[in-house]
Amino acid sequence: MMKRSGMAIVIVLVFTLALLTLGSAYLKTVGHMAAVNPKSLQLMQVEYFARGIMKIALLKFKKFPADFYHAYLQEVARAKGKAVQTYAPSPIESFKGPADSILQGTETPNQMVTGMLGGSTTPVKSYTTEFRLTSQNQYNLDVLEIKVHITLKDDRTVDYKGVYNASRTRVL
Amino acid sequence: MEPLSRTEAPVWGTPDGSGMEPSTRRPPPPAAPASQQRRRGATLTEIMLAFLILATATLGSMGIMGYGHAGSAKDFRNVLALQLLENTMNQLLQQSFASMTVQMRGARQSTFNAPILGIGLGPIDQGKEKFDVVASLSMVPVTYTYRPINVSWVTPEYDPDDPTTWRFGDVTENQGEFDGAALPYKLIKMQILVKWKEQGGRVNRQVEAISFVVDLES
Repeated sequence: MMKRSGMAIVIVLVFTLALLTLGSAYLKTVGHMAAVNPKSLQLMQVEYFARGIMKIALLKFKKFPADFYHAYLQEVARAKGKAVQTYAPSPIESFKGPADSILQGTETPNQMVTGMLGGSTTPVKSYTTEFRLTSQNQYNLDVLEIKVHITLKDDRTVDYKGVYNASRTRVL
Repeated sequence: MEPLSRTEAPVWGTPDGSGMEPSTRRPPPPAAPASQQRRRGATLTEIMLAFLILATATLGSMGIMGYGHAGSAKDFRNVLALQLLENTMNQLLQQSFASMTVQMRGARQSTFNAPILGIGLGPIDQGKEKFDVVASLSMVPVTYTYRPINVSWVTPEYDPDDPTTWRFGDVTENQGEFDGAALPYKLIKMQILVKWKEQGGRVNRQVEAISFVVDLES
């Protein structure tokens, strides 16, 4: 009988502890969700922004395909050590555009990024655009890869890549 | 053998031969010791204290659950708003540049808070929750720079298969100024806002995203 004295308090304390543990776990789950939602929004905002920049780059490729092919293939030849003509900026750099152009929004206050975002909460600090031909068939059927490298306001970096099949047709 | 007296009760046999029932023979139980009486009192106090603790803990847990439920409901509305934002963005990005310019009717900037192109804008109910979706479209001037490849008679050594023979011109914006003056606009900036109210309409909340639509058709 002496060993059972105080058992009621012990049992209740165990129940209480269990209740508080469950409550804490619930609060932790809710808190975790609250932290995840803003990150989901940020990633969504950045992805749509990157998709827009890819389309802007695609428009440039569509308008100046011959200049792009030559600039890109000359850069490939230079990388292979061929004696190509030197320019400053190089044709491919010129095609991508200078800093703070529409495809190269670098981190400069009141410049391209700010203008492009126009008061949006999209957390982009800067971005650059790259072009890559993964295959080409004499300009008739090509696979173009456009990559947008984005630096977020918290200095994280995210890469988005779009792959486009490009074909040349003639209207008769 | 003496006759039985009328006043005496008959004596029945018992296993022990005493002739008495055990119950009648057991001494009355002794009074509970003082220590045992104290223990009974302590148990009542324990139960009351335990009940108090349990009640406090239950109230605390209910408070936590209520707080958590309010947070969950808020997050749920936020998730609904994100889904609505994503859905609207995807639907608008499917539209062509030409169809958007028709909706803008020649204006450089237009705001829509009613359905366009079959896409739900304006007040939208998602279950019990009410949202307001607004789309802003604006023409953005864009200028492209590049070095044009020179394949004219000036560079007769041009060989399409030999990059060492290629010559490029100076950096130019020629034919790359889509600013609505030199050349028509080719770029529309699209901003979608999803707005709703929290805490009985006292707090306004919104999420938004931007993207771009370009004219790849002409």
